[in-house]
Amino acid sequence: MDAKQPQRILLKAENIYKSYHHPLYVELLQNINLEVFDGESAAIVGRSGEGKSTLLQILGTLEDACKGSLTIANHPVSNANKSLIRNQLIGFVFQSFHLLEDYSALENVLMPAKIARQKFDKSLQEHGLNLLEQVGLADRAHFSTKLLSGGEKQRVALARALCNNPRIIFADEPSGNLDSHTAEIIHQLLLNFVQKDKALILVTHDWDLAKLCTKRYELKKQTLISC
Amino acid sequence: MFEFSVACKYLIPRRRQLSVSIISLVSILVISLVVWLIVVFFSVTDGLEKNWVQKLTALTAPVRITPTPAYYNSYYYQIDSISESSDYSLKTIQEKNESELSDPYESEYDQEVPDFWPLPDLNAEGQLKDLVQLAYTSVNEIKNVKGLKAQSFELTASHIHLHLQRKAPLTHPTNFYGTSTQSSLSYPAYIGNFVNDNPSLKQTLLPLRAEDLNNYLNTLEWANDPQHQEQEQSKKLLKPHTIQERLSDFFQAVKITQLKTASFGWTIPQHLLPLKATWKACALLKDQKIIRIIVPLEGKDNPKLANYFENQNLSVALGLLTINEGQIFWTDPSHSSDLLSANIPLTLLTTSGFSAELDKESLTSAKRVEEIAFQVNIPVQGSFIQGLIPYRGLEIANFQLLDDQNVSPWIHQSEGNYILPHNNYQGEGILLPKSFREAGVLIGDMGTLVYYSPTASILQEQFIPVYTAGFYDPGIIPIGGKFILANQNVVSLIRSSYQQEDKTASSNGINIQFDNLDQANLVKTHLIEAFKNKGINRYWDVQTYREYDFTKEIMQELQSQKYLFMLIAIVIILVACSNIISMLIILVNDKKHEIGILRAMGATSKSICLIFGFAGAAIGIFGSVLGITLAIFTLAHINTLVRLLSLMQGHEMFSSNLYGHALPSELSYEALLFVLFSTILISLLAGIVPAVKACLVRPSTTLRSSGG
Repeated sequence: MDAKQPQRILLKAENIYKSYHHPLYVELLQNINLEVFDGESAAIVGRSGEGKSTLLQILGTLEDACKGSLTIANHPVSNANKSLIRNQLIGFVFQSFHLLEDYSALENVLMPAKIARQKFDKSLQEHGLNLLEQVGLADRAHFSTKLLSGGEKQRVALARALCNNPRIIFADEPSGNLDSHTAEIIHQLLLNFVQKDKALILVTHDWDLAKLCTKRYELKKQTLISC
Repeated sequence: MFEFSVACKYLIPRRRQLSVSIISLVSILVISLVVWLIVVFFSVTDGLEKNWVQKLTALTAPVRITPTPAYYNSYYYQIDSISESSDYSLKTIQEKNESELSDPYESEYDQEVPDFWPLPDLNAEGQLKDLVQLAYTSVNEIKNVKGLKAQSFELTASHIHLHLQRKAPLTHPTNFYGTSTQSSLSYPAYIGNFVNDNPSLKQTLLPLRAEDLNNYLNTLEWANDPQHQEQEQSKKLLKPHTIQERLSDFFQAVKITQLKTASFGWTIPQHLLPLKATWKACALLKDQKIIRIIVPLEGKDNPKLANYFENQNLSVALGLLTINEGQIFWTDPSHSSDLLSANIPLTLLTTSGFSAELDKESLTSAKRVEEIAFQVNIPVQGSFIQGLIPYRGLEIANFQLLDDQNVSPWIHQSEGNYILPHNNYQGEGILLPKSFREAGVLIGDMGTLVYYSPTASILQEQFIPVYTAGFYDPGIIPIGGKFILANQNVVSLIRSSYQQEDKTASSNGINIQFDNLDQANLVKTHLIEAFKNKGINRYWDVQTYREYDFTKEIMQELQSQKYLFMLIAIVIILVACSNIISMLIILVNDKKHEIGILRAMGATSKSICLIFGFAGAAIGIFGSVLGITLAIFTLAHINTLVRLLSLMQGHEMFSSNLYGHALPSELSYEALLFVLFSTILISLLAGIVPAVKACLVRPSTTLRSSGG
């Protein structure tokens, strides 16, 4: 937040509305506006069931909003470019890791590159090993993900999110299923990611984590309040 | 490729996805089974059809030009009957083609042209159109058809009378050298001319059998033996040097590898008897006295032999024959041992062959067939009879043709053309259809073709002496069993004797031969076009082999059966591939979570679609490849399989009349392409529903549901 350097906007959500019609009509989000600039980390906190995860998925293009517009790194999000945005600009870290179980740790990490149709050669493999080293799992590269512990899985998931060098990382309760020590490691890795042209948006109910972020929002009664 | 690698990952069987693995395994098996069945079935039926068509066109031609009634009514055809230069007789197409004059009529001395005849068809220069030569020119104008040849054909009807003379089996103990039985066979038959340069003739000719060779040698033997001759032919005894020539021709073409004894046995020459031997044998008795000893090749056959003679009403005794340095003893079951007189002949009777080699020197001096000698080494119950023996009382059991190119020593090949033989003694060589062979006719059998030529006062019976030079397989043509092939001059001779109005349109015409049957329609359109341009189209009909009167129904039947089977095949493939749908739907359900993850990482819905499309196609392709491999293997061993099935069934599975002596085993590439194409297409189609289902998976839902 250097005042001399104009910050570039990385994510802009305007007038986001979301409601469910089935099985009951539920208004989940109303008129959500959010701006995230590069170098920022934003934490969204709120009670369970308020729609934090839904909001994160809408921001991460995994879910469509009923109304409103979303721009990521100056690209207005539409159905046509969603997949490309997810692949190139975004990385996800989920509470329950969501690794591909039939693949090794390294293969999981490199899956986004494969989807981007990068040639599977030595340099790509080195890139994957580098990423695993960053999260301290270089020695687990060829392990089946089934054999990894929860903390290790989440670190692999983080390395995977970093694979295509994204601008924004969305983290949905990244340490929700982890013990406090492991959680701390994950938090540190996540916050390390935030550099001058990158941003982190995370959903948590852990105030300690939220306090580490540069911005905090609370989702309350369908709206987002800065706090 | 990313989609492909993911699809492969999904297809590897895992315990976690047991149901998917089982279903995909079952679908692969079912598809391969179906593909196997269809490929084998189509290859065999295709091969059969090809065989049939080949036989059909060997008899006729792929395309045929026949004259219409307009031709027979034309001035061009009729003018010969009133022209002096044509001998006042109508001409066949062959004769018309060879004649130098298109219009033989000379108004100065020939009789007046009847006014009811149609006017002569003149060309632009005012000359009579030579219909036959124009037709031949049209054929020769066709380009890009390999092996194109036009040749006139004639077809007529006659009566064939064959005289069958056979050696009789041993029915009397004193019958040492065999007698012969005589019978005859008489059939009305069609006679067509033998097309000597027909490329598919070789395939239709039936291979020679040992019986045929034996019969040929027998007829040669009887040819200079007056007691075996019918009265009318007795004056035609063959001179010894002619026999010698025939024999040397014969042995130049045929190498005899195995001999067996004739049905009445072979008397072992005294000097060839081994020094020491003990043989189980049968004694033939007359008034309780031994008058002949029969020795089987194998001792265990002795009771069978005795049984056979008893059935012939001969009195027989089983016993042991002991030879000890020239002395022969007979030991009968009552253990009395007698010295046998040297006058009692010892006869060897074999059912299987023993190896023998021709003594070439004997051939140069032999004046009778029986004088040819063979070097033999016959293992008789453990001891050997070896030495040079005369052919008398022996028969050919096995042989080789010395020239692979030759189909028969009597159908000669010169410059690629086959020539039907004819000679003064036997007459004209003819080719008979398979049905004659099944009725017992053998090569060498002689007979006559009978036809009637009407003269002013009486109907005169005429004979042409003929002999059987070979057999051919006419395939499945209805008239095939009665269709005899003879040299052109024979057919012309018989045909010309019939009344003019008997000459039906199909009995004379032009056969057009070419290598590739698939070009038949092309040739036909070319010809029709050419005939139109020359203004002779109303005189000629052009037909392909699918349109001949006698083939039309069978061809149409084959065609519609093929379509029907294709339809059935597609239905079976559909059913087999439907497994893929259920397997893929289960797979999509199993992998919803992973689909969500892949979508979150940026995989497009198209990619997801492709993954499941690939999975479906992979099963289809794998199943097809497996099925095709199996099919190739099956086809390679199909005849073993058929024998096995026939054995299980207890009778012949496929009648050799219809299917030939062996089922075709060539892989049909048409069938292969059809099956491969339709299986892959259908398995791709089967992948559509699951693939669409997979792209509709919402990442947000699946990621949350198993998230928290």
